[in-house]
Amino acid sequence: MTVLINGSPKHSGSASGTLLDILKGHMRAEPVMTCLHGPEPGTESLKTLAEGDVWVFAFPLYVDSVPSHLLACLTELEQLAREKQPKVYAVVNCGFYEGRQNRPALEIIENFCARAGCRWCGGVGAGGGGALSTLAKLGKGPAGPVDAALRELAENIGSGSRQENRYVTLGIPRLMYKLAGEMGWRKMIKANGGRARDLDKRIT
Amino acid sequence: MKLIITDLETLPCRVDGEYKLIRPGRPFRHCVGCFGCWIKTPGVCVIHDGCEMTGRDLSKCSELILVSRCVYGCTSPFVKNVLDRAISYIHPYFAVRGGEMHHRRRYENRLTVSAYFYGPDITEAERATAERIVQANAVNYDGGAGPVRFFQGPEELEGVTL
Repeated sequence: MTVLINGSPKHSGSASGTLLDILKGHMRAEPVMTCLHGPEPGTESLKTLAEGDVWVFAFPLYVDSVPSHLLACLTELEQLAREKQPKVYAVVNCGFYEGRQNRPALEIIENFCARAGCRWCGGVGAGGGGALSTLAKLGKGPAGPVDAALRELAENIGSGSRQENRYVTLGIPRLMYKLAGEMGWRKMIKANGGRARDLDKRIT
Repeated sequence: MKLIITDLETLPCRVDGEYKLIRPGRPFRHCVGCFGCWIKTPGVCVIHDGCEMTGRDLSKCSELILVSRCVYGCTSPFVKNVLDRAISYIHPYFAVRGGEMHHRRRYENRLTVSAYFYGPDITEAERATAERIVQANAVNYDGGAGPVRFFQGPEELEGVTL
């Protein structure tokens, strides 16, 4: 049984959730979903993970690595991974354009597997996380490269194969992504009652 | 000023000059990815538990020093949490540096990031990951990378001066 693990701290609307939905859509066998939103895996998650022989972590890049709550969960899961010996895959997304910036986070999951003595099977590092949820709804167009990487990952999960880490980004120019992102921040601060120039605020 | 973030209740190292120490005590909640520190109260985390001003603290230091257990090549969850909660130090807008997208700086100070990792059997792979992360942190802060050193345990840090 394959367990898809949403490791975003967000309970809804996360890019990690979007990526897992796409991945699930490419999988032949129905996976089981679970969440690690906080620093401790809950009883239900532990039970689900104990029944899985394949674990697929999906999470956002925080400060160039794994979010602290998920790092805490990994330390809690190390013993279970040692006992159950799952095959482990991971999908990391970052707000930067370049998917390769996710490399240290994938390495952390690989190092976790080495500690637990279970099998690291590779993953996907996706850039453009800030636009993934929006663009994925539009179909394959700009999200096509990410979709293709997740299809390949689904095939490898299905066959139990290891893959090299694959780094991808959206099929739009970096400048367009940058400008759209910055417009998004201005809209969000205005929606919260602020002004665009408040984004530049310095605290003394 | 040096900003030292550690998971040790007592810092075993000596420190030259002025510094601020963030260490375990009052529990800090984890970052929930709300970006409130950019779009609701810019510069300050919206979770008020004693960790909300760390972004400002970073703006007042010239050196960020991490003293932490090495966990899979990362800092420990405590130290990582403090870093996650301090992203208000940088601006949400992007800048391209070294051919890659990073965050624009919010403040004028330029800091150096260094790290002192401890653990009984840190692997070569974990060392490589830790060094890569410190380098990436330095680039994202638009700062510089200082030393990254590894120790068998906290007691070995007693001879170190930060």
